[in-house]
Amino acid sequence: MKFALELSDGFGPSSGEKNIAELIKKELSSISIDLKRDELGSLIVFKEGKNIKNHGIILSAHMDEVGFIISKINDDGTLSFRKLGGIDNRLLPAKRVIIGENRIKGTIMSPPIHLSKKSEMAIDTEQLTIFIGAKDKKQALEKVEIGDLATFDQIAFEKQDTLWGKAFDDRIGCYILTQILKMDWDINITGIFSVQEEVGVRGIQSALEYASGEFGFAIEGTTAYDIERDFPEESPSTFIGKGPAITVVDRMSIGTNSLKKIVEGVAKGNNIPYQFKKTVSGGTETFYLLNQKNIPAICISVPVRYIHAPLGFCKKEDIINTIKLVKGTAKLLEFQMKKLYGGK
Amino acid sequence: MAIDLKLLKKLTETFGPSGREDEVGKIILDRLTKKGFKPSKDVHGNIKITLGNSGNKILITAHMDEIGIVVNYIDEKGFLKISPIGGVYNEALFGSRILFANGKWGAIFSQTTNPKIKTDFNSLFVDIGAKNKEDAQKQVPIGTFGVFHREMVNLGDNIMAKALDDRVGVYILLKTIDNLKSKKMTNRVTFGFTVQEEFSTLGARALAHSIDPKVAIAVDVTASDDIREKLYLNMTLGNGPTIKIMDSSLISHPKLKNFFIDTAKKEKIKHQLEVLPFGGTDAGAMSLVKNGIPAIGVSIPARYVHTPSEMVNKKDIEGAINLLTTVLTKKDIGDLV
Amino acid sequence: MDYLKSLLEKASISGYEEDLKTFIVEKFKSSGLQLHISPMGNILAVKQGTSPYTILFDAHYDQIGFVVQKISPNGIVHLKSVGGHDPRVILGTKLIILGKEEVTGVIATIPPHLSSPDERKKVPKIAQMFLDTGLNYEQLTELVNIGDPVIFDRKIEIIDDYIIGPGIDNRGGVYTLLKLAKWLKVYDNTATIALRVTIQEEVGIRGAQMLPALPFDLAVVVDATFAKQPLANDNYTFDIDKGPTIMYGPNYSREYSRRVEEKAKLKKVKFQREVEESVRGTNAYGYRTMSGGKALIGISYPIYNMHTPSEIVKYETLKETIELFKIIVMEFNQGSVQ
Repeated sequence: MKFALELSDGFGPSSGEKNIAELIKKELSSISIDLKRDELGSLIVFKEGKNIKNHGIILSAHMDEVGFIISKINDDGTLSFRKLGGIDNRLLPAKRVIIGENRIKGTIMSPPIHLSKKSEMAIDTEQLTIFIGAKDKKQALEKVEIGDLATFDQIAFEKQDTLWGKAFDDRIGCYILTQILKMDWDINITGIFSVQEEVGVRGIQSALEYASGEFGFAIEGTTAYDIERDFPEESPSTFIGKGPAITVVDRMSIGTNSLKKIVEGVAKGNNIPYQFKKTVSGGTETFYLLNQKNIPAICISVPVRYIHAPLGFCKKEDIINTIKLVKGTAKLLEFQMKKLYGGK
Repeated sequence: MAIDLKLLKKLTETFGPSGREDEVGKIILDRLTKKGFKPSKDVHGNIKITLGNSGNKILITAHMDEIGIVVNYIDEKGFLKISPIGGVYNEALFGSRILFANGKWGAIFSQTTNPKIKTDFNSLFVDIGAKNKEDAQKQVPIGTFGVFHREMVNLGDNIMAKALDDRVGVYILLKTIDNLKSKKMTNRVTFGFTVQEEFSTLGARALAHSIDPKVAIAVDVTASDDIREKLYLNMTLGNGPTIKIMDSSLISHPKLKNFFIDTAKKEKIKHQLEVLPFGGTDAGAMSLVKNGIPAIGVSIPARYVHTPSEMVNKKDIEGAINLLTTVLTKKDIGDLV
Repeated sequence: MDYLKSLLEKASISGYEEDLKTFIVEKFKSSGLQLHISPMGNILAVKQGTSPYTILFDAHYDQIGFVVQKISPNGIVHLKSVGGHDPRVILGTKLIILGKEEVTGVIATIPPHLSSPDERKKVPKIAQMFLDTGLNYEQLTELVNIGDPVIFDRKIEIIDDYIIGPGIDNRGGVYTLLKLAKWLKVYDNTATIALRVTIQEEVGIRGAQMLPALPFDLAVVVDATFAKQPLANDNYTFDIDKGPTIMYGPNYSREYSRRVEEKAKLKKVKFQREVEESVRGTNAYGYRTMSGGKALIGISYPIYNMHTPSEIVKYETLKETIELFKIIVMEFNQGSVQ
């Protein structure tokens, strides 16, 4: 799973996913595929079926991560910024970031608690600045420019049965897609590595124009808030270590019931642990698979603790089981398509 | 080894707020003298005896004082206004009985129903049943000290009493002295019964100064996790005495801490580790004296600390006596630091 | 700067200073100083002079951190703060438990998908935050015990002339003393020079309240101060690049400070003036009234983001701080102001 860590370490805030696309291309370089990058930057990978050439499934995962965009370079050499995607303001002060093409190291400034009134209140992003070691605007401009993108600065690592990193939402989905694409298939597999999911599920919309298939799966890294909570009755969303999470309903869409039943059946038949996502929050690419392609679609996720944060982690076994479940489901669909559309 | 309930009852029920510890001191002096020791008392009221005449100097303390109040004003009707001595837990006070130094009694209540301020000391008053100001002044003059009196109750596994903080420590020290009396001492161990821990830790600091020990130990009570949610404490009643790692006044010396833990493990003495996010003891005060004295605390987990109904577990008391008896006879304790 | 980086990578949570202690002792030894180490961990390194007049330099060498307070059956670790933390920077922060092995964890945060905007405005108290290591109770208790120290991730970054990382307060000060020790090796001093690094400042100025192994006549306390930055009341802050501050206030001896300023101007060493009205601000609290009241000079170096995992200091300021030390040694080599 080294590649999953490599993906997490990649630089890919929404609208700046090039680095991730390159990593994925490299990973898939040994297999025979058609690659396309659309205008927005999404990577569409088409792997033709060995047997059936006109039918298949679409899998999507997004390459982007939550991050920042530099909005202003201040006279004192610090940078003002805005958030790309949903990040809790309370996570920002004193965190380290990486900025722009040159990967400039920055530190989000944090006024000392000793000199702060209302120290229990979160500081607004608008009031925070990033320090990059520049003493004035001129020096800062030598390193960065307005519009540069930034991410949290956090190296991924492996620890016992867990993987840790900054961007498992949704590099873990990207990882799973690459693994599926590397397998042998008799039907077409289209992998969409989309952009700009975190800023309004945008990349998938244009990318779908270049994809076709009979079933759609969005593969995600999703919220697992299964730790001690203030109110135990509030939903933990998903649990780590309890297998892939199947989304019945999210904020935008209802997973196709027939497909849900198939996925569940595959899990049961193969003794793959699985769970249902327990919150109706967050939108996923399922919506566009359903609405734009008019095909049955559902979202399968790896539970991740602390997504949209500087450091999160997930269980290796959940990744393995998610791959098993996606593969098992696709194989079942492959079997049925072969029956329907002939071939050997 | 059963708990000497008679002794513990006498200790807890005796009057002894910070600065007025003489009655408690007298019990300790009498007992030690009767057992053939020659205890001494210093200018502040600290009492001490030393066992052993060679080896490293070790000072172990328990404080004699308890929280209480002092009368600071008497109004026209003869009601007393009071100030706290030590960290009084105001919310537990309504209807409490105050026993004054001169044996008079009073009840405590609030002048206001305003929930925001009704437990403030400005709102609280004590009624001693006086006819008027003059009568009250005659019975309980301004400057009189008082305590929140209750009798000790044996609850079976647990004991409930006032001033278990820290008469239970005094009890543990007295019993440890009994255990060590016939033992050959390899350390010079001074047992100190200190004054004013609840107020200023004056007693412990003075004692540490005069003795200048190599190691200091304070025996006191600590908080317990089992009464309030979201305190996230590691200590509960009945799981043994605690070896203090940290509180607001002290970070126990790491070598001492390890020595206590290793000894407890080796001797199979059930114990708990204590990280207390608030509070302090004599150990913290002693650790700052002179060049800095390596110090540690041994505590008894207690519920409702600083109320008239503190509660501790008998097994924890026995465990503490056991642990201290063992540790104090180990020669290497003073050589650690 | 690599030297400073390796110093900053040592762990020295108040009360758990051992790791850094070893480092400091070695450095002092290699500077040929005579060492006194107190049982509590205060280190005094002395270069004997020919006169009885003694100048003592002090820097506390502890850093803020946490200890393990409780391990819940569900594997969540509860922490007690050691020193004053800013709850606003703790959520989502990577920490390392120094147990039998190092165990990495992150302070748990509720994902924004599951919290309301109102919730996100208020920062919880540190006592209500948890450390998540991804290990379960059994795995954890194998490696971690109650009371084990917990440090910020050792993420030391050098950007141009700036050093970024946790615990620059006051290991930056320790660095200046170690450098001064090197210089003393070749300096022919008349006064006795004592360099003291002290424990447990962050938990209530404890180390500096303990008597040093040697009586002294003048104490010089070095610590971090606040650099000017957005949202910080600029009544209390100083430019990051205009030199160390020389302290004025009830703790400090005005005449001595003035003398240092005069000489600093002559030698073109940058400095700023800082006022501290509170007597309990730094280690100066311990020394000023010690042994009958001694002269005291305070030198501070401004840092950004104090008490966060991303404290920032300008390297030049530390060098200037050392220059001020040298001025003090030379100026009071022959005795006091009077």
